[in-house]
Amino acid sequence: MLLGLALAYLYVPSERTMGDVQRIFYFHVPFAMSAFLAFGVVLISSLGYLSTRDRAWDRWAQAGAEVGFLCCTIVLLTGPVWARSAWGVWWTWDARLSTTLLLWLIYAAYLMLRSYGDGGDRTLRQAAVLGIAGALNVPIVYYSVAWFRTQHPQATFFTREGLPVPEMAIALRFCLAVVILLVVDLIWKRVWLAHLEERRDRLRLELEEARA
Amino acid sequence: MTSFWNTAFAVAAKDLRLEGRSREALVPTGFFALLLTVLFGFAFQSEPVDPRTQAPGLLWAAFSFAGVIALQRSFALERDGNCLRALLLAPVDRGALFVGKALANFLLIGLVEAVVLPIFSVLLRVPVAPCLGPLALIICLATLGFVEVGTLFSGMASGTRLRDVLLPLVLYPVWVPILVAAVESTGLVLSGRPLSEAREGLILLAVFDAIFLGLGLLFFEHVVEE
Repeated sequence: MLLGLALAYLYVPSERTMGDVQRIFYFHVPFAMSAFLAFGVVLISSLGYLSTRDRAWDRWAQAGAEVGFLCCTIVLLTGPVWARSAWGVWWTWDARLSTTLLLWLIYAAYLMLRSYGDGGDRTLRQAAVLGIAGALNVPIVYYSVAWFRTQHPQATFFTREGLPVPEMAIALRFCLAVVILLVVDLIWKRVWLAHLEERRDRLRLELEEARA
Repeated sequence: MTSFWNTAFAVAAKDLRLEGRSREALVPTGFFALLLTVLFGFAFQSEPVDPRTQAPGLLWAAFSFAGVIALQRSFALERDGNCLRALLLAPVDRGALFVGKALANFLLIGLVEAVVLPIFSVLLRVPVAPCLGPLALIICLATLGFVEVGTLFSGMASGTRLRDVLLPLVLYPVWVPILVAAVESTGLVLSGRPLSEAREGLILLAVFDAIFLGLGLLFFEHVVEE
């Protein structure tokens, strides 16, 4: 899977005015979309947990948050490298960038809240509330920043229809498919791992009770 | 509906009475805000800060930092002696508890802000008097948003091991949209523009206040109940 990603990354795209740095785009955009996908999973499973109190929902929320946080980190690392050559600065306080940074901070806080709680139902419910508030905050932050700060013409960079060379569209679609597959797989494995951990703990408890 | 408000006012009155006797939130919070102002004064030595670009940022940084101290106190009170459990045993709407706690926090933090604002104005040489009315409106709206988010999250953080550290970590990212609107409209007002120019900011503040009020009413019970 990763090999395919690297191939598409090195072979297909042709040069553009921005040069080689533009290639980051083929990673940056898919990971940004996957981050939104993963945080969408957190939002839905948090709502699910609050209404049913079923731990299976919480495992999905946790997995979504961890994987989404990872994707968001990749987006925030690759973005400035590209911005440095395209805009001349590493960072600007534009709406899209600020929103992504805040998203990253909120889910960092979310993961901290989870790990510093006692792991009981109350912690999980609190995490769910933060997961929901965090996800709802995204459009709010976006609009509040967009309202006041000047908008950058970046939306034009991100319209996929506007790609001049067909190879670019192919490469982007391929990367998008591969990254989303990777992310879905990561989330699913994380859920499975959490499930196994819970079963291990239960079995250990039963074993100790049987011994005693 | 009346019982909702009765509960909310009873909770707020309880918090305020406790504060009136102990002054454990008011004095440290006010002193901390004062210290921050002095620190800013030293950091921007001798130059008067620019009322359009720097003063609003410094003012809201001071209020955000100091507000967290008041919030931490608010739930530390409930934790000591398991008061929160007693409060939750009462057969009342959790939304009313939220509104009561938020109301008490609002009055406390508002009082601190009212004291700190003139000191801020004098020490950092920012003329506040000509635009006091509009500024008060902005501060009220933004502080309302701050206590709504803050009450929800301090209830949340109080149940964890790292509560005092965790509160600002979860609070600040969510509080950013209100901060942005508050700083922007404060800047306009401080630089002598009429309030009508800051109308967009005020509308945004009001909308965010409504959204976070809804979040608090909906989710407070999940955050505090054991």
